[in-house]
Formats: sequence, structure tokens, C-alpha cells
Amino acid sequence: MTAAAVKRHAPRKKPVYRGVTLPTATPGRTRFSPAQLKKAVETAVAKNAGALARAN
Amino acid sequence: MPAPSPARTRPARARSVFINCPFDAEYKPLFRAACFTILACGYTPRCALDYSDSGVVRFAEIVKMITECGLSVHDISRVQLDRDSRLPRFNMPLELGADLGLRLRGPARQRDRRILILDTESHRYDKTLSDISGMDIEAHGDETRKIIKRIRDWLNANRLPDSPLLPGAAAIAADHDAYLRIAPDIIAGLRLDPHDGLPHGDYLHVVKLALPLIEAARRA
Repeated sequence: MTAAAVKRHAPRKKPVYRGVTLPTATPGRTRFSPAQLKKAVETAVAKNAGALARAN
Repeated sequence: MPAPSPARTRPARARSVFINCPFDAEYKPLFRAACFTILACGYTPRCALDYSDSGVVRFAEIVKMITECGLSVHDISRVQLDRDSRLPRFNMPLELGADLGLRLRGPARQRDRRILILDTESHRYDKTLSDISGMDIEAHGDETRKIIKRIRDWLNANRLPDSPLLPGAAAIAADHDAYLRIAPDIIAGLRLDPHDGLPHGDYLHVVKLALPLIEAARRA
């Protein structure tokens, strides 16, 4: 077996918020795909970055 | 890549919080704030909306879900008559009763259940449900900041041994305010009608995605 064949992906880094590891499993159905939700959140946070930083 | 199996996506019992509350528009800000807090504390909220968009679920499924959660939050504040039927709703006291029955006389595994009971006013339960006197009962005054504090403080008091302190209630409330600020843009980005808002399952995913980003934006 070649080295490339046994190469594995690194485990996905779990999201952390204020020192708390957030749950990875979420029950229930979603209407949107994870990629759609991720893009919508990232765009919204970027759009409001200034206001969020000033809210400290 | 194959889809995760159901066993892998089911949250751990010790980290699952069953929520028993109204699912109507009037209560929605409190319900969403409760879910936000539970996620921010590293737990997974579970409720009837996991099964059905309307929250109408067979009682056997509700009881099964309760047993899959080590912690429960029951809000018994809805004591008013239903606007349309002019009759009271008994679903929430029924589910609270099932949960208490499990803790008192259920299988050994269920005897360690942690249960928080919420109401609008302190000691109103003396008139509506006096049998629960002596349990963990807190008032939220129908305010999101208070429900965030009540649930965060209760989760912190019942956190797993050797677990670090949870984020403070003020910090979670501030980040909840930040989420409400960006929520309209998230809804617009998904081309949803602002009046409909995010479906429950999508909301949970969005909050999990947003929490670390909101924290990072504050540090920037």
C-alpha cells in the first residue's frame, strides 16, 4: 500500500465559541444545504463586521 | 462521501436539552433565545419541531425524545386561554408530568434527570400547578435576556464534572443581540420571506455557524 493510499484527512476542527466546543450533531431537518447556510452566515457577518466590532 | 449515519448525528444524552414550550409566534423570540443559549453553552436543543414543522407530534415520540435528553426545560407560562378556541392548552403540563414521572419512578438511567421549570412570574405556579413546589422553578418575565440568564445559569450549575465555566449570561445576551442584527441579512441571503424567517432546523445550524464568527468579529 502506498503512502498516498493510507493518507487520511485530518479530523474536522470542531467549532469553539468563548471556550465552549459547540455540538456537531444537530437533529431535525433543514430546508437549506450546509453550504447555503454557511455562505449566508459568512456574508451577513462580513456585511455587519463594523457594527459587530463597535458593539463591544 | 457517504452521509453520516443516524447514530453519528444523534447528540449525546448528557449534552441534549429537551425543550417543552409554546411554538406560536408570540413565544417565538423566547424559544429562539432559549435555543441560542443552549447552543452557546455547548448543548443541543431538542424539541417536537425536530420531527414536525408544526410541533404536532405523537406523545410516544415526545416521551422517547425526553429519554434521549439528560436535561429538560419546561415553560409553563402559557396559562391563558387559546384565542381561537377560548380553551386552555394542557400539552406543556402533560409533558412536564411525563418528565417528572421518569425522574421519580422511571428506569435507573433516568433518575439523574435535570429539570428546569420556567414561568413568567415567580410563584404563579402556586396557583396553577402547586404540586411542583420545591423544584427548580425560575421566572423569565417574558424577556429574552432573563430567559438567557435563567437557562445559562442552570446549565452552568449542572455542567459535567471538571467542565469549565460556561460563558456568562451577559456575553451570551450581547451575542444574541448581535445575531438579531445580522439575522435579516441571513434571511435575505437565503431569499426567504422576512415574515416567515428561518425554519427551526436551519436556525440551529445558522446559530452554530454564527457564534464563532460573531465572537471573532468582536475581537477584530
